[in-house]
Amino acid sequence: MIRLSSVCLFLLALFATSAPAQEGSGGVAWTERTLELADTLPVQHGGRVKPLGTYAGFQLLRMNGKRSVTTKSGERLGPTAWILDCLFKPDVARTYECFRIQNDEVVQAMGVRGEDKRKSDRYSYNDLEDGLEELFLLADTAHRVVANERSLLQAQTLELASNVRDFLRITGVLSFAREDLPLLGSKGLSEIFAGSSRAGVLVLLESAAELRELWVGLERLPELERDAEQAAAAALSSRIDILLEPTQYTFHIFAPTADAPDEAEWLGIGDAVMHAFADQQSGLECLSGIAALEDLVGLRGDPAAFEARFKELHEGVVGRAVLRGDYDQVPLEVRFYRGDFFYRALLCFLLSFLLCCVSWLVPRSAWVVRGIWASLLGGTGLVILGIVLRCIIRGRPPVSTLYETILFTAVVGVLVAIAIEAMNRQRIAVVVATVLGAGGMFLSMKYELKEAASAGDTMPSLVAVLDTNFWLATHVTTVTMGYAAGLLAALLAHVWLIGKMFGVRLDLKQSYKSLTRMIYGVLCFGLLFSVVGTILGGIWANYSWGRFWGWDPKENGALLICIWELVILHARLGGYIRDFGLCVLSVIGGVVVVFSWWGVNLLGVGLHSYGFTEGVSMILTTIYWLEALLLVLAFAWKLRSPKAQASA
Amino acid sequence: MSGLCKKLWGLSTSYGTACVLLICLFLLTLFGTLEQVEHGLYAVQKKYFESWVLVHELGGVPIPLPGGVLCMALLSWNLIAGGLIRIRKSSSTAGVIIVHVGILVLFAAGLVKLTASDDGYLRLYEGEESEEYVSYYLWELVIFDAESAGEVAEFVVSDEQIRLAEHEPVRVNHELVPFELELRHFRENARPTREESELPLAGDWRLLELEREPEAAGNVAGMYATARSAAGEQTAILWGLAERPWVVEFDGRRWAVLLQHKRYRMPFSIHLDKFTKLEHPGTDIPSEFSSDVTQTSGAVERAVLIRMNEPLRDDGLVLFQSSWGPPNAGPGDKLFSVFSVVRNPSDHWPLYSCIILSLGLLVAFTQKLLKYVSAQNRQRALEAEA
Repeated sequence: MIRLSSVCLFLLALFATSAPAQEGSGGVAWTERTLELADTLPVQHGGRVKPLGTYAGFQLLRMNGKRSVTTKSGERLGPTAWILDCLFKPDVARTYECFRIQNDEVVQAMGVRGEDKRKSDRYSYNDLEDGLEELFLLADTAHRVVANERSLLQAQTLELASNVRDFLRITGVLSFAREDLPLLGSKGLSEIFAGSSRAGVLVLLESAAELRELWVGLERLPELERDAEQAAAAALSSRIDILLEPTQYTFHIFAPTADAPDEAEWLGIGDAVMHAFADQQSGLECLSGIAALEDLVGLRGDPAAFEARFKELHEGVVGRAVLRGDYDQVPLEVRFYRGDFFYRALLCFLLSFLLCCVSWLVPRSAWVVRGIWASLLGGTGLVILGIVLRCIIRGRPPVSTLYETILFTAVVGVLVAIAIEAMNRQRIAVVVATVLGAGGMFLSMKYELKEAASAGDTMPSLVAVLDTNFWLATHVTTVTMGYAAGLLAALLAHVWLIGKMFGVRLDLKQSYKSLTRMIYGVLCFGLLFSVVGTILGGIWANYSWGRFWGWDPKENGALLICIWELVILHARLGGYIRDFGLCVLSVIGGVVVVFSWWGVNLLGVGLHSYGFTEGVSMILTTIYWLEALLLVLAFAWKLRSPKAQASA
Repeated sequence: MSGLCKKLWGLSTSYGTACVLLICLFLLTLFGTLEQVEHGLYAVQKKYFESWVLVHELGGVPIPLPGGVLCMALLSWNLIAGGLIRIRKSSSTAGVIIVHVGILVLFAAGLVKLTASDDGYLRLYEGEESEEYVSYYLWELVIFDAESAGEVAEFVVSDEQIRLAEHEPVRVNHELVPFELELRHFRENARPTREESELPLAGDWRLLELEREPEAAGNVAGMYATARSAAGEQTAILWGLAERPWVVEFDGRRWAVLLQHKRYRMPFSIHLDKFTKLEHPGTDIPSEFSSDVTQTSGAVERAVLIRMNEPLRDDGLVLFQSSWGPPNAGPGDKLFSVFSVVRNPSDHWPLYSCIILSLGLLVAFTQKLLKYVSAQNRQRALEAEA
């Protein structure tokens, strides 16, 4: 008999395939230690402090559709190696095919020829470079079109333009350290910077006092000389602005000092340079960091020296963050993303489903049953662990974004199904649990791509009105549990209807009967949470805005779930429906849940039109039609098969 | 009880009626949600949720439906008669009965809110003080002596009276004023124009009726008014956004006539000391809006912080941090804070209902779960024996 440990070993082997991409780099590779340091370097972006690895992961995800990039030589780079290359070796990064283009009409419109490319393929910056001017013109035209009236091509053009712009910004962050400044453009400047041949802004900052003195005294100079000095100053200032511009739109790296606790915003490199030049304490404190960045640009060809200097930078940045308490969750977040819990959970659920299929062939095999439970519980445990870590990192209850509703709905559905299986041991709920778990994880990964494109993060900062852990923990959590139950009941109803229609083991009447009892029980569970969650939402609205109910689409969606479940329960109690009716109404109930969960967000009206739902419309329409088809087939079966009718 | 009454009683309290009414409510909610995309919340609310009957067009096919009011009234009856009176009373139905009581409390809360509450807003710049709040969509006509100083005696024509003037002239008199006012052609959303329109001229101007805005607060009402006395008559257009009141003169006295959103007086005054707007660092995502205010009630003053999710509750009124402006304010510009003000006697009833409902559902479903588990155990025992 194969033992449980063998199953675990198989699982581990499975996980090995999902290990993080090989961290390396084109040309001279970064050392492991450098990658580790870069991964844990705290930066501020999107209103919160996060590891550089997280920032890089989401940038790469939105550009490339995955958190890795493959070099021409076949080497697979992770997000940290990629961003280090972008920052310190932009010429190399430009050769990476990190722009996923799903429709080659976009590149054709740019005038870029990609003979060796497929319709959907990946391109490097260098591949696209010749068509960038056209791309930005096309994007400008597309931008003028109202969002919901844009063609698919226009939307994809805008997306590519945005990705290219972000790539240019990231690769341009350290331009200030690579480029020479026009420091000898006038007599006054030459006197200050004579003999200085270093690139970078530090040389300028070291002589900032003299430079300020020169510029303050310009009025006293003869007109001709003053004009020459002013022209040189303008050229220098303009050059600095151009070089520092990309730093405004990427991440901020310098935490304010501990004696400014009210100052929440970190300084970007550009801000730090300007503050230092203005002799402000906040900028002067960043000088060592700016010096480290300039040194690192020079050391990029020497991995050991680079690592040593990067370590100093890391210590400085982390030290400041620690003093402010901004670093607390950064190491945990690094572990969270390295853990890749939801992908691994997906593998577990798929394995469990596979074993369920095997168990139909060899129903009495104990190891298969153990395997099913081990992988199912393993997957569930991974999702719960992932959700708990997210709660700790964010300091929030489990659900505060649309992305998190997917994870939570899936895991609640799986847990309820496991509880049912534990009670009736029919091996039906366990199959549904694996489908729900795998489906949920798959959806969460797909939706993560959308979140990457819209928010650049799945842990975004919350708007003021949502900033209440009490209501997020009560209303949002309970409503989401109601969604989970509604979907689970619908899935169980699918099993009943499909089983009956295709005549699967019609002799097991007791199992079918048990299935309808499960559906009824799950609906009761769902009704409890949907009703309580919906009313709690109203109470939140009442205590926050002064109105309990506003007929907002999202509120109505929640109400629709409650009403529909009440219809089912009353119809069942009144004897108007039996098993077939219960299943049909439960399938419709699943559609109502989908509409309430996602559909109302697409309407574009009301207070709850949150979440990036572009592209979701087609999936929803497909679901509605498929369910309609299923119901039509079910009714056809019901009407045409008296025997089946009798057995139903 | 006669046979017919018995039948009616049986029908109106049945599960079938409950199902039909719930399905009607489901359809109303669904159509009312989808319609919001085209017609906006206010119009949809009136058509679907605050009506007795309605006709919904589905793909060009008219479908008559009971309106929200009728549906809720019948459902309330079904709930009371069927879910509380007719229902078998036993320990197994205790949970369901509790649930029905909870739903009734919720319905009652809705009814009280609909009939006995009012709401509006209060907008204050830093340093400003007010003891009035303004309705979002109700109007009133105020007539006062334009030359009196100090406390001004006002004659107020209510929203209900004004709206009667939409179809036929309405005449209003008051002992304070020496003239009769005739109101005509009230329009919910309109603007004065010199262009052609169906409405008559008043001087060089006439009213142009506009499409109603999706949100009621976006409408600006307008109408014609004629002040008439033995000395003669004067006619003008009154408009909700007019910069100054219409001034009429009779017997050497000047009277101001003003169409404005309805004002409500609060039992205290609010002074905005400071408004704070914070954003998440490096973003334009709002992280907090809050207003430091001083609430003055007679001689008693107290400092209060009103912020998102933390309103000020006092004397039956609740003031919520609602929004701020101006939206195009630059750094250093003076900001104003907007508070939603609500007077609702059933403010906490939904919470009570939620507690009752939760309790009832827990009792009902726990009973069912225990029954299910014991049935499963029995079945397993039978299978083991077999």
